[in-house]
Amino acid sequence: MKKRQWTALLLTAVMLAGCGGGNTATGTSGASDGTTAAASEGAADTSAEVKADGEAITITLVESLTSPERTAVLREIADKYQAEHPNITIDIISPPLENADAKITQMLMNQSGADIVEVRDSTVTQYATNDWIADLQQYIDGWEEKGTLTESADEVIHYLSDGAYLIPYGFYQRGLFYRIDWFTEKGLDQPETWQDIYDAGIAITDPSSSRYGYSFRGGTSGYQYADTVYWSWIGMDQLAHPNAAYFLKDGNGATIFTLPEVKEALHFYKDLFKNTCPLDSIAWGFSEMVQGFVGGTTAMLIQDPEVIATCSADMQDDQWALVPFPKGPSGQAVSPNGFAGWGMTSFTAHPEETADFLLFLSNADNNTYFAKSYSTIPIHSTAAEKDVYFSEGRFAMYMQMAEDPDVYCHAAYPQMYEAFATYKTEVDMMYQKYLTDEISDDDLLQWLDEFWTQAYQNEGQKW
Amino acid sequence: MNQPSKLKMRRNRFIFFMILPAILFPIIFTYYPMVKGAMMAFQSYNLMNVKNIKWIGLDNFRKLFAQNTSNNFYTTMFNTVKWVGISLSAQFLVGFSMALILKKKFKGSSLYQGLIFFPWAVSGFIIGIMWRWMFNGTSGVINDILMKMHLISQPVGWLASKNTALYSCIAANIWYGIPFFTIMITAALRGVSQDLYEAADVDGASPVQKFIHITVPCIRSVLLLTVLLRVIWIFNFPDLIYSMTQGGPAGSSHIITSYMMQLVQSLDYGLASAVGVLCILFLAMFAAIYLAATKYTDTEV
Repeated sequence: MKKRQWTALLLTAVMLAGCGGGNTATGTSGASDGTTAAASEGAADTSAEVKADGEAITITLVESLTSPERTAVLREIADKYQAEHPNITIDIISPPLENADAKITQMLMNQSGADIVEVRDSTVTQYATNDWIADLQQYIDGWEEKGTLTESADEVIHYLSDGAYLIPYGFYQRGLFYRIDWFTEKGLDQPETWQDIYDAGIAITDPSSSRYGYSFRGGTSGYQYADTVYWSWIGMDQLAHPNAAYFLKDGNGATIFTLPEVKEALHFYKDLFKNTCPLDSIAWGFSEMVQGFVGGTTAMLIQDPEVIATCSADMQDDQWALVPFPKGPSGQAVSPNGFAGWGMTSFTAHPEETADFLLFLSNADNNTYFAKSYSTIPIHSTAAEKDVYFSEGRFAMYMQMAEDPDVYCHAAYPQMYEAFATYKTEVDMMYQKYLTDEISDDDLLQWLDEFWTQAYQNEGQKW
Repeated sequence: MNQPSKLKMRRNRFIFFMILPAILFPIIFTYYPMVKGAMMAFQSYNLMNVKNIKWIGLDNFRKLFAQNTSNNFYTTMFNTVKWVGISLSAQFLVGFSMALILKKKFKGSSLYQGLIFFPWAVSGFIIGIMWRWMFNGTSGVINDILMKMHLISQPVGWLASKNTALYSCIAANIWYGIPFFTIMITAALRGVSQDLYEAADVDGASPVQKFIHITVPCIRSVLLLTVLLRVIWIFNFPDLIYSMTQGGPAGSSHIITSYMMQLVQSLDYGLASAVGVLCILFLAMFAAIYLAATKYTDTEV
């Protein structure tokens, strides 16, 4: 009797521990979807119907950065294609943004259910390393529109040195938004350098009236801003490659974190936070940054073009202005050129037709239309000619930046390293520890240096 | 001779097939994933490179307990104890008090009950986002109220300071968990026979004595089970922390389960699984000890 009681007890205990309990919304959108990815043999949502060649074909496209407005634009473009190719049907799957990447990963692991997937700068390495997306070089070679691609677009297509894994649909380029009315009040000029931002910030910051200078990003992805400050201090010359900008040129894996200019830049970054930003910006993410600017708490904000719409909606036109990215002591303004695009799965049943649609989606007309609706920088240099939107108005500023590539440069953290996934989850915490005086500047720089030196040793040179 | 045994065989087969689903379902949907998942804890299972999965023994566990600047696991474990301990005690006390109030049905008590239950019906994430804006340092309601009551002179960055981030999350959790205790204990209290109280009145017992000697022993089994369930559920409830602070700032508000979520996002399933295995081991041990120590299985109704 006793033994049976104990066994029952133990089994109950294990079952109780195993079940997650009433309300842990096991949607836990964003994370736990991933946990079922490997364990379950989940069926794909729709499968590309394989019929005899020349017969009806279905191409499935899966989005990642889903939004209802964007899906409508994609549908329009797909319908145009379907009209020209009556035997092809395009199916667009739009999972909710929070767990779309996890869903795509699931489909890719199952090797079924998708022909085109949205590939982001943060996922391209994962997909390519696992052989989930196909090399598109042969299709690009025969593409008549490849001549008008911008330099940035070319760089992204060949982001990974061993193949052309995606064609970008646009770039998320950051600019500097600032409260022109507050600046005029204080008699300040348009900020052009990081030092200008700091000085203006000091002049404007007044905690008693809840006014601060700068919308600081201390929360998720805050490290990206610290990086731009470093690069603007040291300039492009010393970087090994724009896409692997943590490493030094000819350094065999030596990192930028040992340079004295970077230490200076880091001190500047901390001073900026301590003296011109609200205290709780240590935890600010995208929405809080934008809310801080639009809501009248901060005077300056560095963000993507999608903020233009929010500012136009919530503020008067004469209250804010959008100007180019700030320069550093090196004379250059360096920022990451975030991108996303379309990739073809390696297991698609109809590579020719899929590649054809992919290139159709990426041609100058469709891409410019898409970029305009979605507020990204288009990939063809003819965009400004095709649409006034890109040559006038607020958005024109981005095209201007593109015309001065010596000053306005792009650099990015080395996302092609597998170690980047771990880095991304630990780095923001380390910066927060530094900003709250828990660790010293040397500690932080040492951690960064060791992390990337180790990654280089483990994975080699990947650019 | 043949007839009865054939019947018996058919009967046994029938019983077997009836029980089969009850055996298969837990195996397929609970035990198989648990075992498969636990296996990942001993592999270098990283979604960045699925071709590179190999057995690495206890390396993942060693990584968790390593002593270096970027490893917060010890703080995380301590935070988890605080999270569960404080949330549970507060929820229990407040819930119990409210249940005592609701014990006797008064006018509007069913409406009141429905209103109390409201937090429980809403998703943890949404509650987290709501509280996050309430605690916001510059435009939050809580700072506003405290300043108007002259309790603070400057707005406080509740979720931005390492000292207050976890406790702000705990405050939200307490609000969230009170309904469950209230409802369970109210139901249990209403099941206590009035005769016992009347007999105690006859003997001249004070309210406190009635409470200690009649109320508590009668609902003991409900109290014990509710507390055990809540410990496990609070332990496994990272939703609030995830939406309020993402474990920040500087990892000061992470609990084990929210840390595990972060690891899943970094695509390191092996390490995440190792944390999961530790969670299950701890909870199973805790539950076993708890049930034995409180002699739950010996409780008479």
